[in-house]
Formats: sequence, C-alpha cells, structure tokens
Amino acid sequence: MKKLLVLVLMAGIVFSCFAGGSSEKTQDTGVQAAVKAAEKMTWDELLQKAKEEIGDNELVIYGTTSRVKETSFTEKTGIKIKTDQPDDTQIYEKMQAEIGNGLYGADVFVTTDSFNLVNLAFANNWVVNYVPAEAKQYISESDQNPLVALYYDRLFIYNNGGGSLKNYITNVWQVTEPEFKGIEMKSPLLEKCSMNFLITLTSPEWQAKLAEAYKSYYGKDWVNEGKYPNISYEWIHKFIQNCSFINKDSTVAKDLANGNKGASGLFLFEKFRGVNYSNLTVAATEGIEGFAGFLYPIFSVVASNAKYPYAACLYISYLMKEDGFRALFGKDMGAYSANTSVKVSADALAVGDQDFSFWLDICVIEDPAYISSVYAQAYTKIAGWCAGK
Amino acid sequence: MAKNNFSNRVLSYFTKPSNVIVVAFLIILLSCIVYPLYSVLNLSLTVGQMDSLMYNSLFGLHLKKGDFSLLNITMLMFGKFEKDYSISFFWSPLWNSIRMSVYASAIAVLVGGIVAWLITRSDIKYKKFISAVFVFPYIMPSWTLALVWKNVFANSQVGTGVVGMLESLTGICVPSWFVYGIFPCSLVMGIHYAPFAYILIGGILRNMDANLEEAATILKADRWRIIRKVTLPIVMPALISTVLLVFSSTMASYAVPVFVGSPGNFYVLSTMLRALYSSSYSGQSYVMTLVLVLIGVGMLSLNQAVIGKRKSFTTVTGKSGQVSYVKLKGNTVISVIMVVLLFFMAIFPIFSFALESLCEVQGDYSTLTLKFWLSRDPISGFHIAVGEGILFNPAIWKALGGSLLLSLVVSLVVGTSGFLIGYGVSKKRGSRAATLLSNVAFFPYLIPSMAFGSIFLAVSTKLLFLRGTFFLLVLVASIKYLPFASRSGTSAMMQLSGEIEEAAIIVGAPWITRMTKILFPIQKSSFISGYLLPFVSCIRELSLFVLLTTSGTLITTLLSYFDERNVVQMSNGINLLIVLIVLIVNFTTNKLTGASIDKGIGGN
Repeated sequence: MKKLLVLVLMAGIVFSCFAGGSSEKTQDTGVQAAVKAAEKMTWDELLQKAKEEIGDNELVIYGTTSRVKETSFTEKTGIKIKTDQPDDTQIYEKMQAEIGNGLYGADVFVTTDSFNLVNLAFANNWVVNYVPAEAKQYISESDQNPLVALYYDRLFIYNNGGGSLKNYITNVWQVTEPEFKGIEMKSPLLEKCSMNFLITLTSPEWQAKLAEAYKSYYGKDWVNEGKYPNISYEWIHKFIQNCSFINKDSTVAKDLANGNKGASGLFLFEKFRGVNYSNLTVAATEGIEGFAGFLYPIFSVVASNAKYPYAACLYISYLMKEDGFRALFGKDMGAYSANTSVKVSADALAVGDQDFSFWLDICVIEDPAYISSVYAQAYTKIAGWCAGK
Repeated sequence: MAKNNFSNRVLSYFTKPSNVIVVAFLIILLSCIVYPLYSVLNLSLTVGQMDSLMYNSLFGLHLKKGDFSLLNITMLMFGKFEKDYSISFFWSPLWNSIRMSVYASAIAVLVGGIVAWLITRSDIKYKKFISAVFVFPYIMPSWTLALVWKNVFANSQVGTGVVGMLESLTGICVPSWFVYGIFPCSLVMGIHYAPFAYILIGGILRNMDANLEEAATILKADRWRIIRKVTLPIVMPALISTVLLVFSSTMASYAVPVFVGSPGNFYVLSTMLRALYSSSYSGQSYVMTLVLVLIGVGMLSLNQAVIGKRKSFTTVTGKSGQVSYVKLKGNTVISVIMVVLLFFMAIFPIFSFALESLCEVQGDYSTLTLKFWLSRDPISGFHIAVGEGILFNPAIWKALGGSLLLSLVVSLVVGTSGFLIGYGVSKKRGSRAATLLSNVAFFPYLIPSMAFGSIFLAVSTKLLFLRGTFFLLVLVASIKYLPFASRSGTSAMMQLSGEIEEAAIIVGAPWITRMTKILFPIQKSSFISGYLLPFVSCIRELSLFVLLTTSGTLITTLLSYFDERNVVQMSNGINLLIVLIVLIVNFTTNKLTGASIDKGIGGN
C-alpha cells in the first residue's frame, strides 16, 4: 500500500507537467456582436436571419427544466432543436467543461441560480446576455440582466382533509412550531434556488417582515438573545429543524395529496398538475402573514461560443412571447412570465392561481446582489444546519 | 556482456504469459486509474473558482482558482470555520456510513452465505427455484428495492401519513425507525448484495472437494466444528472479498440512503458528498471522495494481512471429488420458509413494478390498463411528452439498444480482463508486481460512481477524441467494474492447483489451449460470473453515466427521466424491462454454455 501511494504521488508530479490549466475566459467569437445585432431586430427579421444561419442543423439547448423539450418552437419556426436537461450543478459544470475549454456544447442555456450565473458564468464570459427588442419594454429593469424568462413559485401548501381543514397556516412562524414537525420540502443542499431563498430571507427587508409576523403571532417583539445573528436566522434554523427533506418536488406533492389531514410542505405550485389537488390548499389563498413562499427565476442566456447565435436569440425571444410562454410553461399554475404583458392563463386562474403581481407582494424573491454579498457566511451556516438535522 | 545478460533476462521474463499479462495490465490500469486518483488529490488540495470566492469571503484571503490550500480539508474535517459544520457534513455522516456498511456486510454475508451453503451442501428442496430467484435482488437497482420498502411500510403515523400496503391490508403501522433510517438502509443494501455473497461463496463451495469434510466427519468432528475448522478457512478468500466489496459498495451507495435514509434525517457520506458536489464547496467533495478511497485502502490492507497468513487456498485439484449433502432436519419447513422469504425479497418487487406500470391512476389498482405497454398512439394526460407505450416507443428502444450494446461490450472487456488478471496474479502470487496489479485493479471500486464519472468528464476535455463518445462510456464502465471480475477471477484461479496446468504443459499444450480448454472450463461458473456481473451492473447503472451522456442515450437515464417527472407507470415498466432482460440473458447463457449466475452454485 505504501508503495502504491508513493507511486501515485510520483505520477502526480509527472502529470502536473501536463496539467496546465486552460484559459477560462473565452475570447469574443463574434457571438457578442451577433447578440447585439439581434437585440435591435424584430421577430420576423430575427427569424429570417436565424433560418439562414442554421439551415437544417439543430439548435442545442441545455435547460434545467424539462419544458425545453417541448416541440412548439420547431413547429412555429421550422428550426430543429436538440435538448439536454442537466441539473442546476451539472449545467455549470458543462459550461466550465465545454465553454471553459473552448468546446462547443450548447447554444442556449435555460437555468436557475443567480449566484453561479453571475459569479461563475458571466464572470468567466461563458455566456452572453440577450434581451429581445419587442419584449424589453414589458420586462422590469431588475429582470433584464441577466434576462429572466419566467418565475416559478414554491408555496406553503397543506392537506385540507377533503375540505374540512381551513386557515391552517396563517402566519409563517407557525411552521417553526412542533405541530409542523415533518413539513416537507426539497433539500436546500440539493436545490440551489431553495438555498438562495433562505439566504435572501436574511436580508434587512425580510428581517423586518419576519419581525412583524413574529409580533403578530407571539404578541411581543423579537429579542436578540445572541444565539442568532438576526431574526431571519432563528426562523430558518427552527424551520429546518422541522423539515423533512425530500429529493423531488413531485414526491412532496404526491405525499401531501395522499397523506394525513394537516400534512404540509413548501414545494412547487406547478406540481399540482401531477396529483389530485382537491385535497390541497395553498396557504396564501387564505391569507398568511410574513410570506407565502418564494419565487425563483429561470434565466435564459446565449452561450458565448454558440454556433448559431441568431437562432439562440430567436429561441429566447420565443420564450418571452405569449405563445411561446404558453406552449412551454403557461398551461398550468405556478409559472409567471417576466414579460408582464403575458398574463396568467385562464386555466391556471380557474384552479386557484393568481396574477404575478399577487405573488410578487407576498413571496420572497431571489435577490442576486444581496446573495452575492453574504453568500459565503450565510450558505455555510445554513448548510451546516441542513446537514446536521 | 552485461547488456546481453540483461536483454536475455528481459526476453526470458516475457516468454511467460503470466508476466506479459501482469506487466500489460499494470501499464493500462496505472494509466487509467492513477490519473483519476491524481485528479482527486489535486482537486482536494487546490481551490476551485467558487471555493476561492467562498474562502476569501469567510477568511479574508486572496485565493485564486488553482491555488494550493488546505482549507478544503481543515474546513470539512477540523471545523476551521465552525465545529458544527464539520460534525454535520463529515464526522456524523462518516459514522453513519461505517455503521450502515458493517450491518449491510453482515446481512449480505450471513444471508448469502447461508443460502449458498444450503444450496451446495444440504438436501434442501426447490434448489433450482431458490438458486434462480435469489439473484433477483442484485439484478434490480438498489433504489427500486428501497422504493418498494417505502411503498410497503410507509404509514399514517410516519411523515406525511401516506398509507403503504401493510397498513392498507392489515392496519399495522410500523414505527418510523423501521420505515426510514439506518435499519431500512442496512437491510435493503444487505438484501441487494446478498446474491453477491451467494455467487462468490457458493462458487467456491461448489468446487470444493467434499473429501475434506468427509475426512473430518470420519474423525468424529461435529457439523459446527467442520464448518469452523474446514469449510470456513477454505472459503475465506471469497468471504473476505465479499465483505470488502459489500462494505465498499455500501459506503459509496447514494440512492438507497436518499430514499429511505434522508427522510428520517439519516445522512451518510455519499448523500453529503452529493450535497457538497452541488454546492459552492466542490473541493470539499473531493476531500470526501479521498476519504472514501482511503477507507478502501485500509480495507485492502486488512485483506492482505488476513490472506497473507495462509499459504494455499487450493480446493480444485487433479483428484476427483464428490459432494455429499447434509440431511436437514425439518427440510420441508426450512424449504418453505426459504421460498416465502424469497418471494418477498425477489418476486414481490417485480410484481410491484408490473402492477404499478398497469395502473391508469397511480396507486389505484382498480384502473388497470395495458396502454403504458401497448399503446401505438402517444399517451396523453402527463405534463411531458411520454410517447407511445413501452413496447412501441422509439425513444425507449433506442435507449435500450444503447444500454445493451454498452453492457455487452463492457462485460466482454471486463470479464476477459478479470480472467487474465486472475491468472497473472495467481501465477505470480507473492511477487510485488502481482500484488500491485491486484490492488490497482480494485481501486476503481473505491471511487464513488458519480465522482468517477465527473473525473472522466474532466479527462475527456483534455483528450478530445473521447468526448461524448460511446468509447468513453465503455472505458469508464470497464475500469469501474473491473474489480468485480478481477476479484472473482483471482479467487477462482487461486482455487486451482498448479499441477493441473503443469500436466497440460508437459503434454505440450500451448498457453491459449491451456486457458480455453482446461483452466476456463474448470472454473467456468466463477469466470462466467465475471462476465455476467458487469453486464448486470452496467445495464442498471445510472450515477456513473449521468454526467457523461444525455437522458435519452441509456435506458437507466431514461428511466430516471420518467421517474423524476412522476410518470411512474413508465419508470416501473422500464424497470421491469431491465429485470426481464437480465433474466433472459441469464437463461440464454445457461442454454448456450451450461453456466449461469445461479447454475454455477448448485441449482440443478
């Protein structure tokens, strides 16, 4: 064994001679110029340019959501697509492995996690931001760079026992109480948007809202006894202690729909569509103090070494259009276009969804700038709590 | 003169096939294994881009990507930032992993060893059924057994109160520790690997000369003394190999602790490794990988220490032998109990997969339909495009073809290599080269599949001809599954006495004839296991390939795709398809060669 380890170390010295790192910052390959030009084009101009560019080839899309596999884009434009669905860690690994080494992999990324997008992907010039001209006026400034295609929400939801249980969660501090032991959610250690939500919760804005909800629930002001840096960390720690971490949102939805009266969870509203949701109530529809859950963005960006940048911009434009959003995301509840002219569908409203503005007021929204400023300390503390349950 | 002597010695050295085999495999394996190990070591001792952002912020440093730093180690293992962080992410999961692996190994060896002894040494009834069915739990992916466990034992008193089959049929609610935690994790892994123990131990028992035990009986030794003093020492190599492999596999397992561990807040190294891998502390995930590797090295050293005490484990000699069966008291009762247990362990899960794939509404058994198998039109009612029924779905057939081809190529490469390595190691036993080869061939097993796949993804960015190719998948899988075959080949070859090959040499048989006509046929059952086990492992592997290929390439990535999107009818159906394919391969192998996973150990 000792000899084997010596051999490994010697081989390491040899290999280190060959292990020169490649440049992570890619050069401008013309994609940036193409994207700048595309930002001035109308849909029809971009469509024509994209078709000339791509011919009969396939546009490659990496997306963390399965919706990228929808064929409606091809049906509308005639441009073929090839998709892959890595998770929110793998997609950045692929960027690093491919674009970071000057290799072509994808033209478009549809992804979550503002922290890695900004501090890794944009910092290394692996991706280029594109804002479609026709949708720009309807997208808020904060959603333009990087471009947010849509938001999903994860909400506090409970089993209403066939309608007999009402107003079960009315204050966000309730879910930190012993009665809510076992509340299900996807582990923040495995889902970056959940971790980003918890980190955003530590911001001054949400500290204030939690303090109001605390006073309303307990009848007294929160006092900092020194155990936690601020009120948000107390909520987070107690909530995590109560949580039962599950690996898939669809499992949470199914468990709650088939479970006991009062079973609850914090999960994707969108997953209602896969279960019998007559047993499920979204706490926000009955009113909840503090916050009702969180909204997280799905970004869409062009690869800095995209083979077909105009086609990539066309795809992103399609996501931001009404018909594109409806085809990929908008049939069901829980998805909201960042293009404010695209409203929640009538079908979704009919089953209890609300306009995007309703959720904006009562949900925690991932704040990339704040997250970047506190990420290391907040992540380490929260991750330690999640792992040490 | 000296130069001539040296070149003569070199030429003479390479005239022996065993020397050529050992040297050739050493070169290949060191090239393919040392680089990944070096990568893990390098990534543990340097900071990545996100690591540097985090550490600079936490400790006020100015690290850049690629800088040397011990922070990955000190923060993860020694509480550099917070003691609780180390305990939560490392020490507590480590202790959990060790406990789970010890219990699983004990269960696997006990259950597999007892069944192997019953099949090969007793007159238990229904041998053919038992030996054929007992391998099913290994054929099925371990996480599907975990899912079946959850489906049966989840109840209204645990978690969200989803009612499982046991409560639904009998009203019985088992406690939460029974549903989630170390108990189900250990039991599921133990059951999953019991066939492994059964194959390895049974293969040795079957070929063991019964005269040894009969001599002890004549000398009036009781049954228990015979087992302790005669049988156990001889099957020691297989027993230790089994314990090592089951322990290592369980330490690195991910899916089972996720399904029946995490909901009960039972975390192990692999679940924490996955969490770190997904986090901004990826360097710490490589430290954890290194720890897993070092634990494996420790186990290997233990193996060497134990095996080294014995001079010979020969059981197959040129003399004839015959098996005598122990007459069991209460044979019928024992046989029936075994059959019932096997039904629940091996057949019920398959039945469960089939049933789930036939339900129009998941879990509602009054809505049975064949459409998920036979529909020629795209199936609607799901939020994703499912396509046609399984038997007419082009995407499924394409993925299945990919998996079959990959598994076949990998099994041929691995099985043949294992046989040759076994020959080389047994012939050169005691030499440094053979010891090194034996240890190096085992190393890939110690690296968790997910990390292994990631390392080769990085390799493929340097060696561009590998990237995205089928060859890369073959290369990764072949190295990863070589330990099975090399251990199996080595154990089998060690049972063969040298006089058998010597007799063939005397009559002038060339090496290839000796291999194919004498040595291979004698230990055919063990060697063919060396081909079948990689095939079974490869066809149901997911985490090894998930970073290296897209979701439609292999049947398991496609199964995971449907399962992730809650189209459980399709995922259960595909799962059933995988199990059926392996059974058909086993049956076909039996018909063509007379050997099979179960036949090799006494299922007449």
